[in-house]
Amino acid sequence: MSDWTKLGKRAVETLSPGDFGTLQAYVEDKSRLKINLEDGELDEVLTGRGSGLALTAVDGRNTNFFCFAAPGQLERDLGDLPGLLDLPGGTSDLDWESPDEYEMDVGSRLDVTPTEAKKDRVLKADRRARAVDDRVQQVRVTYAEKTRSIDVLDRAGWIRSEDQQFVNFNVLVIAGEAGQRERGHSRIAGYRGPEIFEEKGPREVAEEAAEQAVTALEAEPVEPGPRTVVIGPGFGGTIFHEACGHGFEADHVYEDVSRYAGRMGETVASEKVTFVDEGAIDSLSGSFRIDDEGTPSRRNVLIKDGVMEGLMTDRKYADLLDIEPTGNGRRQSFNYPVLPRMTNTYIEAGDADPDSIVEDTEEGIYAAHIGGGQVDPASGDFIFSVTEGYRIENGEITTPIRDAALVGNGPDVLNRIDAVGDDLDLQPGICGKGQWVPVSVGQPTLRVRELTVGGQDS
Amino acid sequence: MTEFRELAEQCARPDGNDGELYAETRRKRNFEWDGPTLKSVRTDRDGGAGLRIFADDRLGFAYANLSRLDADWLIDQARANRNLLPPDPDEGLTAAEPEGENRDDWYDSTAEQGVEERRDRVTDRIEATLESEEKLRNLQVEYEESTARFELYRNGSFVAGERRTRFSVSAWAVCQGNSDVQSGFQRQTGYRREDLDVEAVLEDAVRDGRRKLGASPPESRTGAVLLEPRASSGLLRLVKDMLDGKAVARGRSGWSVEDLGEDLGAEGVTVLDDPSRTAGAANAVFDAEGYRMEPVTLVDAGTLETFLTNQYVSNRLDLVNNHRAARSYSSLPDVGSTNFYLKPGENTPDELRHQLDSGPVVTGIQPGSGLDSVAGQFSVGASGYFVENGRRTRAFDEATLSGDVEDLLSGVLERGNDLPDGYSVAAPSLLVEELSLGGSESS
Repeated sequence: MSDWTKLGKRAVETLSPGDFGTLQAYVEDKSRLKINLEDGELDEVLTGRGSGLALTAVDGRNTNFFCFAAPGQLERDLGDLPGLLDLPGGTSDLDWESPDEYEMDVGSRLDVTPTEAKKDRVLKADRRARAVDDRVQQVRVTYAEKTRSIDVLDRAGWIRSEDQQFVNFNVLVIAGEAGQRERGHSRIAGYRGPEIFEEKGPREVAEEAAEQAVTALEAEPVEPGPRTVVIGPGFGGTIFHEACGHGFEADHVYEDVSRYAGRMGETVASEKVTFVDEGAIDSLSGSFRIDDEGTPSRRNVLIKDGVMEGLMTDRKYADLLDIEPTGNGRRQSFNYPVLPRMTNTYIEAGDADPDSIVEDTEEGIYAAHIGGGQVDPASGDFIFSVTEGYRIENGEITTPIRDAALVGNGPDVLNRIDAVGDDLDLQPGICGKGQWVPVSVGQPTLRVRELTVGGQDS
Repeated sequence: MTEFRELAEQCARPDGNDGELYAETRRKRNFEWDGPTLKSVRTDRDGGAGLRIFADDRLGFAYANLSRLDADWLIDQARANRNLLPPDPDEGLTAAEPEGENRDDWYDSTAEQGVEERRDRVTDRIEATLESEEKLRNLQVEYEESTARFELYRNGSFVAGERRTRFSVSAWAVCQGNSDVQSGFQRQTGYRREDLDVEAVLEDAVRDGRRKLGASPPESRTGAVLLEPRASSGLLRLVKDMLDGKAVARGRSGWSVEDLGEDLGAEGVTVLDDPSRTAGAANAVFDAEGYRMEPVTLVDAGTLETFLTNQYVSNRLDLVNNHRAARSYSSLPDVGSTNFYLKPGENTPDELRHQLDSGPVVTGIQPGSGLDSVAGQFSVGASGYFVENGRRTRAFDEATLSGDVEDLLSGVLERGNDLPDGYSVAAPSLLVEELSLGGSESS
């Protein structure tokens, strides 16, 4: 048992239950490796490590949160939890001898591979991206890995999840011609070992990024206005994550700042839409066996055939809403309190052939790759950039477009989906809600009638 | 106080090479309200140290937080990482002259006590706002006080250190009309608690949400646009990203050193970065390499003068180092900014609306990922209202505002006198000659 775990245990034994509501201790031990290449040069190799303790006391609506990166800090900050350091530990009748362990299948250990070999992957990606086209001007490649072990301790017991390991391989390419410069970006990420590169290697990631940048050079600006938009599989999930998914988080529903508050059992989307959050899938960016409060992850159906059926919640909001915890209590690190968060969130596959969806679209936009965006969570209004897009003319994907943005309202868009393909794909993402956690987003090929496409008049 | 001296001495001259230790501690108190209910209180302590080892033009780095600090581990890791890197003649540890003592210029000691009283005052303001605003469905407020301190050592000797405070308040107001829900946001940051105007922040957030009620997408059009400070400040981030010397050195900026001395903006456009700006949000004495910072004029009357640099970037681009290194203990020095702003003019917002006469006033933008500093272009979400004959008419939202950085800077016809306080990136209202506003239909 580490010093932090002993301290967490003592806090739970002596202070819970009491005046502070339900107390939970969270211990995290983590390490990190990052290798960065830019401008043809390897310019950064760093390693780091850290550990700490978070204590969270929940009493109804109120959360009292403390975190510490050095044991001595407790003495300075725990005035609000009197007696913690003075009371003897071990007075509880709870079984604290060993934790219940939850392990995720993440493949081989990352630390078995020498750093030199990881560096070679970065160099390979750089060379491959530059070989794709003479117009490639700049390449940035980042390999990052993080490992962490967590212990969650409360009156219900002691739970541990060890050796969670996360890989992120990221390639950014800038291509230029005649004064015009465009970006391309590709990435793989997930809770995996080195096996992650067996599905898609560094060269393929680099090629995708380079081809995206070069294609954008040949693209034309799109005229702004309403269009039928076919969203290719995978990255469009970002829109539904941001513009709809956050509305199914229990804190937003409880606080009545979600468009979905009070709508359980109502039709909130096209009947073709089934919207799911599922942390229990192995190896993806939003995967885990237990969440950061020790609740096992699971499959949560949010919308079934257009009807609202579920929420995503941590323990606090589960209590407030009188529902079961769903395994969605997540935090960026021990420095942050748990919040209801998404994991791997996607629209389920339908039965339409993706090619026929395009063929049945006389005129519109095909959004192959959607980048970042922004959403007003209260209204669901959003804007997202199309980082790779094409015109659809007479049922065929034709010329590439650039500088296009999709503007609309998430809940409204869910109602305007009129075709769902059978080609579900999930892609890694990062979700911000005052703190950052890795997630996956996904959807099959979808068609949305009447979505505003912003751009510049040509 | 030099808390990390012992560790710095242990890390001095590893293997006979040069070593540099950057250490910091942070303490944060944070309060969040859902309506009048205080829903979360956070006390966050963190800190750690990062070691850079330099030899043969190669630089290795490793870090640990406070609970895992160990000189031998840091040295072993930094040494191993250095051995993986190729030589780079522009690299090096800080060459700043030692300052001899920690500085407290931007530190407000009141952060150490009385936080409960300040928390209660925020609660009172929230309750008053909720009572007075009919269309307010919810108000979520966050108040935070933080103290951060860094110390920098080279070969075991103290170079520089500084302690800073930050007070910030942000408010998110959800407003409801007949069948419409819209939200507004406002945030303010200062190094002294007196700099915060909680009442004004709450009122601004509510005003921002309320004025969007009933908005609809506008017709697509290209022409003169008035950008209010939220929108102009948001777009100024694109200019900041393009003036980042690291981005220039790495070919990630739409500008290059060949553009220095070129006219990139209208005569009225002067862009500065000032670490000591009154009512700034990011005031500081030293950069993260221990150099004393001074105000820098980056664009002077439309002419590009220089880029933001740190020691490495100034070596790489052969520019004067204007000391804008930024980092945490867990990262290498990058290039940052302090209080980055576009110089205000003389016009009142009302005068600018009359000069626009008829056209869109953009009150806020959703930048998303629509600020492209590589291409120097932007395509962002926009909301606001139209004026006709200088008078406000209907509100719009679900629009896109697009153009390139030259359209923006060269097209500045007039500047407002309303440069906002409490932002690290700030611009006044700008009347711009021609930008594209995309909406539901073409006009």
